[in-house]
Amino acid sequence: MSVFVNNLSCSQSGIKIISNISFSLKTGEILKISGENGSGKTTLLRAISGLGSYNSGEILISKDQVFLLGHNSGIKQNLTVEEDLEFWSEFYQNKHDNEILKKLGLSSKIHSQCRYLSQGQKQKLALTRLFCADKKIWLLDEPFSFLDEDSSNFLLSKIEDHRKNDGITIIVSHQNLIKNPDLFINLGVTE
Amino acid sequence: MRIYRLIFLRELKKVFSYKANYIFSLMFYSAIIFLVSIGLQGQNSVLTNVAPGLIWVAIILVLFLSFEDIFHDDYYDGTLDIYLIEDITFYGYALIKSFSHWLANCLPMIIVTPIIGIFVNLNSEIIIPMMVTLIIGTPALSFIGCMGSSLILSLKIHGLIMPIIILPLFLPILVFGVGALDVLIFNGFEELFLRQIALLAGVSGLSIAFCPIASAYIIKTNYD
Repeated sequence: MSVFVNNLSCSQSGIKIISNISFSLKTGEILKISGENGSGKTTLLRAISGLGSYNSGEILISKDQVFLLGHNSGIKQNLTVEEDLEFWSEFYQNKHDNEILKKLGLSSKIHSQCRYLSQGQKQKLALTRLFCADKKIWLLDEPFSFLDEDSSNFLLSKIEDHRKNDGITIIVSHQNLIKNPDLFINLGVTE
Repeated sequence: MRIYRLIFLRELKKVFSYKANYIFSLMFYSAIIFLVSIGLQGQNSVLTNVAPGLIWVAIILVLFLSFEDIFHDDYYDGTLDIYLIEDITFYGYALIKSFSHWLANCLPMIIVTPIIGIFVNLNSEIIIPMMVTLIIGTPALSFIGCMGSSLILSLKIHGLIMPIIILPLFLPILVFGVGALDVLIFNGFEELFLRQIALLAGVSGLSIAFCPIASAYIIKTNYD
């Protein structure tokens, strides 16, 4: 399994956002992408996931193995945490791990409606979907946002486990928590 | 098929867990009918004659309140992104949304119509034909409404764009739905009633067949 991006260029409303990006990732590798706001990090992730269009270039990826954790995580405000977990468990045909819920501190919120969760708790709920999906290619857009220190460390350990299990991770982050990425791309400043 | 069934059940759970939504729709529907009946008090024969049209127009007005939200949530909360990555087809998705919209919004109004009909002196002989026209015609309203909702998907400010576009598409449904009942009330011709019902079913069938295709295409263009 690999991710191959060659000379990728994307523009929005006629303005070039990403210009000639190329990289390739093999199993067990991590790519960290950083850059200023508006430099095209999310656009790049969406293009790789197949959600966003691009003007030129080539992307080769096993689409059925892609998981995108974006800014919005498909959480329905008027469903409970339990209903959300059950839906995604059935969707991915993979039971969610109660241990993970405990570690993320969501066990006590299981019967709460998602509208009453804080931003951090919503991010944690989105992470449970990531672990439930059991995909090999993780595309993570600012996954540490709103997370407390313990949960950030827990996510870091999960990313490391994913690397050991031959998974590929592409992570967009402003924080310096990923210390040893195999590849680093700085999309630079917004023009 | 398993995933589509799951999404359909989630849609229903989402709608019915937020009771205020459909209870307010029913209250608004009752309020329109009740206000018109108050406005025409003392003119029972007029009220009886306009009752079918009034019920149809009230249902259309109430439905307009729900059309904006059909795809909006899924688009902005990231659900649609997830479905697309998992290869859920736009067509299947639009079909599920349209059908669950009918179940959640139209069906409750159809069920309460015999009771609401009391306010407008709806003739007891007309109640069953009225229900038949609503059951046959309202799916078209939901499916056309979903198509309209997909048109304004990525517009943050849309105002009256959708009603202006889809209101003309509701005309055949209104004409055949009310027309079928009018021929029963004024002429008592069952054959003509059945002909109007057949036309209504035709329009409804066409809407069910083509609107999800159009919705799917429009949603796709929002992603391109």
